[in-house]
Parts: sequence; C-alpha cells; structure tokens
Amino acid sequence: MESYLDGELAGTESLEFEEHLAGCPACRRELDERRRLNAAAADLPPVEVPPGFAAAILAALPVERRRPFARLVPAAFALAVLFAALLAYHLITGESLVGVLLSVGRSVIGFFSLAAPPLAKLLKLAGVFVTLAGNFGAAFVRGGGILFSLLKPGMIGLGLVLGLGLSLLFAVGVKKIVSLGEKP
Amino acid sequence: MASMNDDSSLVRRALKGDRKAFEMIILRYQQPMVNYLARMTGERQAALDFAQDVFLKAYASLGSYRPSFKFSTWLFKIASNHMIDHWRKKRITAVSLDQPYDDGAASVRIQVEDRQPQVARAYEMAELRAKIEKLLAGLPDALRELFVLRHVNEFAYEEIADIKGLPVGTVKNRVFQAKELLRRKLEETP
Repeated sequence: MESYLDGELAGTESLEFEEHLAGCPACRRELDERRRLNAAAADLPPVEVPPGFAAAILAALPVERRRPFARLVPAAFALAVLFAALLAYHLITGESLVGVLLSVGRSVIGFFSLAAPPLAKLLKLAGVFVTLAGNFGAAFVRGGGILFSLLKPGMIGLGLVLGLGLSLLFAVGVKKIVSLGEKP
Repeated sequence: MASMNDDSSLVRRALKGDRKAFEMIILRYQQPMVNYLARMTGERQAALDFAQDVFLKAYASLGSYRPSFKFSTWLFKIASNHMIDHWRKKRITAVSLDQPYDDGAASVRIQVEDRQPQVARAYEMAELRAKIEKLLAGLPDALRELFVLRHVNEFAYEEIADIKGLPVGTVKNRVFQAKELLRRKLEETP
C-alpha cells in the first residue's frame, strides 16, 4: 500500500491493486487514512524563523574566506629575496645597484638570445617526430587490423609465434654484432 | 545551462568570498532546516541555534562540497550528523538502525470517517496535524528523523539514503515502521 502511495508500483501491479481496492472497503479506508497522514505530515506548520536569522549567521562567519591577492604572495616573496640578494651583493662588492641590475639583466637577455634559437629548433623537431610517430603507429595498427581480419585464428597464432621468434633471433644477432668489439 | 543562482553557482561564488551568495543559500534553506531541526529537538530556540551551527559548519566545509551531489542532501547530512553529536552528548539512546524496531503492532488505523463536509475535513486535518506534531516527539530519535526527512521535509528515499549513508531498502523499512508507530499512537490518543 505504501509503495502504491509512493507511486512505486509498476503499471500492472498498480492496476491489480486498484482492482482489489474496488472490491475491498477495508483497504480503501486504510488507503485513505494513510493518505491523510501523509498529507497532514507534509502540511505541518512551518517553525517561525526570525527576520535577522541569515544576517546573524553572516555576522558570525570568519572575516575573510580567501584573500584576493593570495596567489601573488609567493611572487612578492621571490621578488623580495631577489632584491635582498642584490642589495647584499651591492654592500659586499661596493658596485652600484643600478650596475648590478644592468649586468643581471644583460646576462638574462644574453642567455635567452643564445638559448632561444636551438630551443625553438628542438621543439620543432620534437613536433615533427611526434607527428611522424603518431602517423606510423596509426598506419601500423590499421594494417595489423586488416591483416588479422584476413587471416584465420590458427594463422594469427602462427604469425605471432613466427614474429616472436624472428624478434628473438634479431635481438640475439644484434647482441653478437655489438659484442664483436669486446675483449674476451 | 546552470543558472547564476543555482546551488552550485552559489557555492562557487561563496568560495570566492562572496558573502551575498552564502546569504542566498541560507535564505533558501533556513526554513526547511529549522522545520527539520525543530521536529528533531522539540524546541524552536534549540532548532534555531542548531541551524546556525549547521550553516556555519557548512560554510567551513564548502570546499569539500562536490557539485555532482545535491546540495540539499549535503547540507542535511551535516545537520543529521550535528543531531547525532547532540544526542551522543546528551546520552540519549537512539534505536539502532541495524535492528528491527518492535512496536508490537502490525497494523493500526486512525479513526476517521469518509466523505465529510469540507469544513469538517479541514478541522479534522488541523487536529490531525496538531496530534502528529505532539506525537512525533514520542517516536524514537532514529525513526523520527527518517519520518521527518521523508514526510515533513519530503526528501526522496534515495536522498535520505545519501544523507544517512544507509541502503534505500533500510530507509523505506524504517520510515514504514515510524509511520506504523505513529498511527498506533494516533489511535491511542483521544
């Protein structure tokens, strides 16, 4: 009966129950009682919440949840350390602070001007390599798929065994060639 | 598309320090929360104090809320745990949810007549509400909580299962037991 009230009975079960209800006054009365209880419970009067309730909670919250510049703190700290190091260098060596800053700046620019062209070439080469490897891998997988679809299961097994054997022979051969130059 | 004022958006804004967003969350849930807690504590002032604690706890743990869960379920889980802590402190024995509650009555009836005139029916419903309000306090805490969540706050069984960390079948069974006990008490009440 509760499942019926919750709307959880499947179509046929619900119909069967309704058929039973039609001929059973006791069940009809009980269903009505249960409906009234549900309705009364759902309609209990709300407990009054005072008007300033939300404001009182907000007033009790911690002052600031997240500082807006919290992410800048590490950067500011790094800058402060750099400045302190430069100042110390200036105090120890007696060189002017502007001179130190200029020389550091020149060094940084020099490093990047030297490193930038080879770095760019390296990145370009890596990109080409990744593209080629990707294309080769895709072609290999596609070719393998076509080959396996043409072969019978027994032939696939044989091919795998042969492939494994050839790889093993290749590895042994490579090891022998490499070890030719070694002293006994 | 998610609205600027749906629960997840409000939580995101509150996490960024937007107090207005958290105020909107409080305004949205304060009434159902106080209703629930009042039925659990039996006192309005205690319910208001507890509701404040629950919202403060929720604010402190907003970072752990995952939008894949329903916010109301998450919030009421905090409230339910708060109530359990309260009962533990008061050393009130709650009925174990792992054992069947034996109320000694298989089926009971509320004595009401069918097909009454509208006014009489309204009066009867008001009387029934007053009785339920009074008798709820006499239910064991664990059963009362499940009954209130289901029939007063009108959560789905699946949502209650999430709030309480119980299987749906257990929740249904307990709600049924609570209702049967309440019906029995209603029958005994003049």
